[in-house]
Amino acid sequence: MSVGKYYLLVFLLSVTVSATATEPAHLETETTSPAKALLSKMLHAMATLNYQGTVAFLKNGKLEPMKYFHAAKKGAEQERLLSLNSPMREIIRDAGKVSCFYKTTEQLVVDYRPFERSFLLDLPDNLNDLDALYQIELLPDEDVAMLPVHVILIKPKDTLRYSHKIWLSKQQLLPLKVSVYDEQGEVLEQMVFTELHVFPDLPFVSANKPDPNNPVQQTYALQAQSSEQAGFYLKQIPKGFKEVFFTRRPMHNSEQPVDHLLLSDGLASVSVYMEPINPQINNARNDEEHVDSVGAIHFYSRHINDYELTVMGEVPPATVKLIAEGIALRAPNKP
Amino acid sequence: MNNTLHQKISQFLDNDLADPEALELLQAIHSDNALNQTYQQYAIISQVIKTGDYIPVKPDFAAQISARIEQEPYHFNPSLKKSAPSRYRWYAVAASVLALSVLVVHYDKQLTPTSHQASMLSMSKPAPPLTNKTASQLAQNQSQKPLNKRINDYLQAHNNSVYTSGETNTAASLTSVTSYNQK
Amino acid sequence: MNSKTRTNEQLDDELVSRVQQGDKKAYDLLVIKYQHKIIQLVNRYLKDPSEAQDVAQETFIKAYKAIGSFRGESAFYTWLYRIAINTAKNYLLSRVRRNTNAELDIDDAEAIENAPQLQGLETPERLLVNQDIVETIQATIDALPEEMRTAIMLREFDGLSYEEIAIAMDCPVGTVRSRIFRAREAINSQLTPLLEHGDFR
Repeated sequence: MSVGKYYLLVFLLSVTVSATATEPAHLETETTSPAKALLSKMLHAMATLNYQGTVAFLKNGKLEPMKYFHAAKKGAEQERLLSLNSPMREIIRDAGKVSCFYKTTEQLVVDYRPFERSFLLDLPDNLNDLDALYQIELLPDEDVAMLPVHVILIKPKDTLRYSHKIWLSKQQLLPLKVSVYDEQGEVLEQMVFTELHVFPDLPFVSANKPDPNNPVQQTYALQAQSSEQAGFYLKQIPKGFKEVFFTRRPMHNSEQPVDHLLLSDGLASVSVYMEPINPQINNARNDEEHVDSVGAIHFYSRHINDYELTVMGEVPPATVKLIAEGIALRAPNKP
Repeated sequence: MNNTLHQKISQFLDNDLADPEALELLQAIHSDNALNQTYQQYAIISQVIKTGDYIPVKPDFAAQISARIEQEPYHFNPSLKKSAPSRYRWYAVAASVLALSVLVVHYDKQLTPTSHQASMLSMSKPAPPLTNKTASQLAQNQSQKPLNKRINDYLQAHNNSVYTSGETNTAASLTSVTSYNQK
Repeated sequence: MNSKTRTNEQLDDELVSRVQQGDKKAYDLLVIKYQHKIIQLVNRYLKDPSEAQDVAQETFIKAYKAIGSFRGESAFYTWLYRIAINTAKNYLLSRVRRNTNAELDIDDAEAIENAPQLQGLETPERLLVNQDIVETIQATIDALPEEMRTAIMLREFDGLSYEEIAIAMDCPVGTVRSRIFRAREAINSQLTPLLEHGDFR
């Protein structure tokens, strides 16, 4: 099926209803505005309902249609994505573990991502955490493909982050569409369901391939470490960004360790990487300092002594530059 | 008694045991076959949960190493660190400043680097055994890692968008990188 | 997260120091502590559990011989890890050289490790037993009471500390410790008969 056909399906969005999320009472006390109350209910629905559908991700000018499954049972959740176009792959998220199986090469990549919860949209549990940074507004209702939806705009209070707009179905309160906008209001990324069905139950699928001749090819076994072990520290962190995760681990298919610090403001995340300079990259980068981008993600590299430091995140270029310019190497000391 | 020790094994595997207790436990595992068996099995459980895979371990794995080591003379001669470095350091000078900085820390531990930078560098290439490489080989190896690979790895570690971009695990995703014109 | 004390790095330093002073038994303890990690690491390169064990043993011997030069600039495990990777890569190369007479150096090992024709093959019987073990463990986990299953999965899958799990599950740390232990005991009780009766080794 062609990408164009899927794009058309965006306008033929159909949703079958067979279950409704019941929201926990405590969420009501945490939120004040109607918009936040809806988002709370949406988070609960996302975590507790069983649903599947076809979702299209628009990133970096490329449309990627995938089958999406979310199974939930007794507090456990599993997300599953099946690609419809090459490279053919199946991606399964069980708690903090993401397994990606490439059908052509039969390669299984296991990735530990304890800091993420959803392929669709990650929001903090306590939406009040966003108050200082974003304004959350309920916009007039709309219809998406003839279905009634709430529309919520999460707008930054400064220029250091992007706006998000979420369309959530009135009946199940699941996000049917999410868009990320830059400062000029241009769409940077989009996720939209072309069909979505809710079921009383969906099976959990094993990420472990039964064929022992196809072992795990690559494992990113992340162990959270104290960021005090990082070779650098940040002198200027934009308001609201907090350290979420730090690890030092080998990368680039070698034993080369790279320090990785992840920051988040609850909605947007920024990574800071540090590794010894690679001469080839050194030559390529010395001509001028500039911010590059892949879709909504901007990144900026600079050198300090013999190290290459890169800041990367789905934030405006000024934000990655601000963080990068505030990086300092930690004073020499033996831990 | 066993229950307490089993619980300590559980804590030890989770890095939840203080050093003195961990040391006592390791000694107990070393001298008690049954306890060692439990430790092995707990490790198997952990491994299977983490990787979905099971690698059997020979029951005498550690004992065989111990027996081999028993035959080794005890001579930890620091002069080992002096013999190799000069040659490697010379090659490194010929190659590049960076290659030098890597090699000096690796092969000339006489420098006893005191900074964190040095310790990071010392992790950047394997230490022993020393390989007989020329500087140009080393420089070439360093330069063969393309920018795209590095940024692609960063993207993969940063968030899950690589899985939904259709360009996962390929270097192609960075071909569309656009230079941003600063204001 | 107080990872500093929790990784037992100071214990490693202490044991290394004892080994450097001639205490060979201290090295036995380091082997016990790291054997599983090193075997798994090496197996990722060799893809043959039996060979991985031989190469892991070789790694420990090499590390012992070189331990006099270890000065704690990195953690002991990091240092051991590097030796293991080098030993595994060299082993891969020697395996190829034996078969092809090719001129290769250690940097070719990365390409070789991904070559499917070099993956070790286990006997079907062994694979069946191994699969039995994996399935038994997974089935036992599925059958665990909810709070035990959640606790052990948060620990093993997500790498959360006991403190973090306590927050996530809204219970005291002591309860987390106990739940994880009881989960392991429950799984272990199912695993023991398999290991005793099956020719798993």
